[in-house]
Amino acid sequence: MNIIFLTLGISITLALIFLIAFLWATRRGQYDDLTTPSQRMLIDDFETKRNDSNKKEE
Amino acid sequence: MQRTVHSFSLNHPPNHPLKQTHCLHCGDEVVTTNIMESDGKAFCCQGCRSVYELLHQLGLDGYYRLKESLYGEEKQVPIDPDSPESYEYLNQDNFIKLYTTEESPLSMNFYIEGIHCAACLWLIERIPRTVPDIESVSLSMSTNVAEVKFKKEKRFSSFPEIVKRFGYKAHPIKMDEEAEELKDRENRRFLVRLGVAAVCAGNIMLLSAAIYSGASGIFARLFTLLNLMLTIPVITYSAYPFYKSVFSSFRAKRASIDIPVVFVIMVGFSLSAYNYFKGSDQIYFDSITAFIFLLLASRYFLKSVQERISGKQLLNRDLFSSNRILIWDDSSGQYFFQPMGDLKPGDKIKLTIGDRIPVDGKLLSSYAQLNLSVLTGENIPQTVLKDDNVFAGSILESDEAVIKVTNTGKSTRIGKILNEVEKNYQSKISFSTFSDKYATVFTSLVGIIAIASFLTFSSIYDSSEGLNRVMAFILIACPCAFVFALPLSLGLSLQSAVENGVLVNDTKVFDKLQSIKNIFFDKTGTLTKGVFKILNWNIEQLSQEDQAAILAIERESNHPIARAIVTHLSDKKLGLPVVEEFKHIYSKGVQAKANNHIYKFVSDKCINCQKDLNEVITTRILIYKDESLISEILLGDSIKEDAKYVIEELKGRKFNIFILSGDKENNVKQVSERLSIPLKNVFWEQTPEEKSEIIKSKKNSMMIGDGLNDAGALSSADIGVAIQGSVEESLKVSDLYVLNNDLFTIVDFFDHGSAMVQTMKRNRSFSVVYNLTAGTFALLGFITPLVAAILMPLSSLILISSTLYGKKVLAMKDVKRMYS
Repeated sequence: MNIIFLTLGISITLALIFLIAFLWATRRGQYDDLTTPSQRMLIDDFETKRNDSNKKEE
Repeated sequence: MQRTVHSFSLNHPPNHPLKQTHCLHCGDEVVTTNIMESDGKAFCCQGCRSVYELLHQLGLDGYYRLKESLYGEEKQVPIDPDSPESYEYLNQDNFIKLYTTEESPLSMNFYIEGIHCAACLWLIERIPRTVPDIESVSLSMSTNVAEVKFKKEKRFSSFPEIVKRFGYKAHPIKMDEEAEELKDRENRRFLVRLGVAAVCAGNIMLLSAAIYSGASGIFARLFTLLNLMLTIPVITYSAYPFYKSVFSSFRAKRASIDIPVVFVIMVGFSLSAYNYFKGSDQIYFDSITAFIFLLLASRYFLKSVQERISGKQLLNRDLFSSNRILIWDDSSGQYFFQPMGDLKPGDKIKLTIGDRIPVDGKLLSSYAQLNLSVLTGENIPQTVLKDDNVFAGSILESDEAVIKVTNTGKSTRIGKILNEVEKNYQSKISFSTFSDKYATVFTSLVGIIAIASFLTFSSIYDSSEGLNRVMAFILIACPCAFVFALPLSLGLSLQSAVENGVLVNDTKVFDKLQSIKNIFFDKTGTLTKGVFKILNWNIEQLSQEDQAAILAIERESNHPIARAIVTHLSDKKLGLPVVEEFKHIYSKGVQAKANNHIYKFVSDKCINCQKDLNEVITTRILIYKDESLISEILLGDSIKEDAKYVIEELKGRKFNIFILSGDKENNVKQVSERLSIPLKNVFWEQTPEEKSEIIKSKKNSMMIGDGLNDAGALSSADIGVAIQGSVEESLKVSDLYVLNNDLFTIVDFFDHGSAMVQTMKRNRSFSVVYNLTAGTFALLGFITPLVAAILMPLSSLILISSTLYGKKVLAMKDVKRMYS
């Protein structure tokens, strides 16, 4: 049953990694505005397609 | 802003085959066909066409594709791109100082009017690619604020100018960078607290599951130790806001909803830690951390909804006041734009038609027409002569006026009234809500029972058994109904209110909504449309020649009556004759010569010429041609179509309906008759001060209004409702702000509010039953940590679903009514 100590360590490390990732994202301001980026994402998609089709035309 | 110019000359034959019936740019129906040469597209007007041409030229046609793919053919109200407004003033030093900060001298924030979809976002954020002076643009869709970085100094006007050409309107706004940053930092910190609580609570739950399912010996000890360690960051860091709020409520000698929360945390943690070291199994780390996590999550939700609402409101307000004014500069002998805040008594200012006078002063021009409707509710402008006093808030209706400033800001007449209003409003905030009251009762009750049972059980068994039972009782007696069901249902109500077009300034309206008995309506702009126009004119009686003469003469005048007539005739194609000998007949009308006939326009009051049920006739114009009467025009305001139904609906609900207006007796009586409101409930010719007094004399009243003259009444009422188009001052003091032009929204709000209160009541009774049973079991010694671990989240879950169900029922009701 000693394997439990290892898995415990792993699970806590994983939790810490996620927490750190979350802290980093928050500090960077990724949760400040939740509406605009979701819209912007739609647009970028569209933009790439448009550029692609432009290239083809050229 | 409504476009007025729809009739542009036809460059192309109108019988051109057209696929579109709606304008490509704004989606309006195409009245006059105006076709683009190359691609055969239809536009409703020159404005939309020039926006299209500009976009096409810059290679930004993607806007239309994007708009269509995302939103179909949704209508939008464009802003006139051809308006002559200049933004050159933004490049002046005094304005730059006002709108930029020292840290970032090259960036400025703008509120953009007319943003409604991702296509707009796309367009605005593409600007840096086409305008070389602009470094970057970042637009937030939730606030409609764009942060713009410029490449060069003193080119700040370039952004609003290009935006205007795209058909939007940009208003520079002053951002309190420090406050903004503080708010951002606080929000982030709260989110981090929530995240920490989530990580710890999640892991504790996993470890606890192992213990409950039979881990024993060294593993059980180790897992519990880990739980203890994971709990520490939650109760110290994540729960910090609760301690802070309790501390400040103690200092203010006030009961706080957080007292029972802190109590549960403290007791639960110390008991569990004590039991761990003692080797006993009464350990509740899982329950405490889950509790804190749920609590923080529901508060975060409420906070973000509230913030979104207040952000919207704040920016809406900023729009209403213009930011600059033409001030005479002695040294250069010219008028210069200066920031409004720089005005001082003695300054000479110049206003043009449509401006709101920002100060009290004396008129220096020989005469001016002023619309005092914000002060009195009456639409017809008054003539003011040289050296007469003019008051802040009135709107200039004649071409131009020069005014010498005597009082500014708070020392103006309206400023003083508003000062009073704000004082009223401050004192109104100190009500206690039902949640606070119940929280106090709840906390003291739990405290008393706990002490009593501790004494009883200690004498029956021993003190450690007594302690354990009482601790289990305190822990299980969960104040969930108040601490997270309340913020959740408040948040949901606020959100559904916004979806229905109501911004809630103060959540206490939900408490007060139930007790409302009297509803006061303002007349102008609330029950009526507030637009002065021609209601009845039998124009066919007149020959083409007469019509042309009338149009030509009325074009000479800027009086609203004249403008109404000009608008009415502008659709017709009339060859205008030359107008001679134009003169005003003092306070009567005008007279002029055209086509060798003398036309005379005389206004008089009209008492009994009502024709249509929805009309409020305020003026009759008689037209004489060479002294013989040829035509009669009735002008006035009209009652909103839905007003009658709304009043009936509210009457059916046993509310007393009142009208409170500053307008003339005759006009107000016409409205009350049409809406069948008894005369004893109708007040006319009321000053703002009197309106406020009347409201104060009636308890449980709601006031619905829009004008500056309503601000006092709105703040004195238990619930003040400002409707769309209200002036800034009314918005500031109102509890609710209706965003659409629909009076039914208010009726809906009553429904939503009472549904919310019902949900709250249901949650409360559930929590009473739950606490009674679970509390009793705890005291009898049946509650083990496993039972607590199940019961606590379960009770929360039931409350949350009950709250969500309350919202769903409401939504279903709305749908049913829509189709019934």
